[in-house]
Amino acid sequence: MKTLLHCFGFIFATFELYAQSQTFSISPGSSDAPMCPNVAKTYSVVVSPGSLPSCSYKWTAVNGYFPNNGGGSVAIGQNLTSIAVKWEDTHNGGTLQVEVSSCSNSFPSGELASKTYSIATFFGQTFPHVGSEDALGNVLRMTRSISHTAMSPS
Amino acid sequence: MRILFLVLCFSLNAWISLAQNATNEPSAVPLKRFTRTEILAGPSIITIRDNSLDQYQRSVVAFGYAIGLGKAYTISNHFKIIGRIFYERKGDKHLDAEQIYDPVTMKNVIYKDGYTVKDIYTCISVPITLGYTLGRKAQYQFEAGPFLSYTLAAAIDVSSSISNYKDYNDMTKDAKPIDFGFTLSFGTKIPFNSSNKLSVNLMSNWGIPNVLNLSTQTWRTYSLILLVGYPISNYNSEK
Repeated sequence: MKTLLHCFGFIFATFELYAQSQTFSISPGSSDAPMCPNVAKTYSVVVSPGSLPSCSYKWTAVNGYFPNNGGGSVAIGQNLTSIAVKWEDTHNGGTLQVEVSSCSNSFPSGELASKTYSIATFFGQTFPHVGSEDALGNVLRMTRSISHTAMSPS
Repeated sequence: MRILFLVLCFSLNAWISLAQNATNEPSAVPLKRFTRTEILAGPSIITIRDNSLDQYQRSVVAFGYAIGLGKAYTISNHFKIIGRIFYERKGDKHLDAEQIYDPVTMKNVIYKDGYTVKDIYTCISVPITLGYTLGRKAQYQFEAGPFLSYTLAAAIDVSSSISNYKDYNDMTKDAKPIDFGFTLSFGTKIPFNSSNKLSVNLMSNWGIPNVLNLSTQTWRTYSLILLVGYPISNYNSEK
């Protein structure tokens, strides 16, 4: 009997540890390069270890919006585990949050993941032009242009 | 909305009164008052007007379709009132840029046309038009009038081959139940066999209101349908 209880205890502890080590997060993470404003990017929910639960997912963006889900900053959908976000052209960075509810399995409702992203922006910045003079009296004689390259899907 | 119903009521009223007059006054030309019922079907080029695209998006040609029934009431040698009912797919298609993080360069790379976005709007449409027929041997018909549509579904279907992203967002709950607008059509009839003629019409439908109940997105429908009709009833079965 004692051995049986030990076995049950071991199994329970294993499950408990497994459940506690399960992480619910948004991918890609915020350690990536700054996001280009106004260009959509796909974000997904990741549960590790394990598979995605069948739930209602509520996505909320601060300084961003969901162009393919009505164009607002809140999108709710059953099993909406991935979403495209467009970040606004702002200095303040953007925050993406996802919350689950009404899960059909034992996944806890109210589980929440949030990530903050920096946004690459020139918004509000003024650039000197040829002929402009700085505080030291230096006059700009020439400019260099910066271009970005858009790639076509292969 | 009220104006549209007034127009529809007026059209219906005019139709009925003309029919009554037609039965009271014998016509010099024996006209078959109601034409044969036609089954109608055809592909369409569809778009959403006022779908404001940003600098990274571009619209591409999208195709829809319409299938339904049509019948006309002959008023005179030149004028007809034509009623049709369709199941119609409208919407549009556009491409959008997508940014993907490249772990090698540690930068976000922008892929032009990465996302394919299809706006889907399906409805039952009822255009009622006044037709004017030109020509004797080869007859051409111009039509104009209002249409009323009942929304069946609205959705956004998104996919990306770059990030393998696929999503189908049901927007029906955000759509208004009714769309309305005006219809212009130009068509002719082509002999198909000894007793039947195919009707061929190029019909454009402009929707007036935003069919979405959202302040963040505007969908005003447009469809250009190549509508082919074939009679499915005979004169003897109709009054």
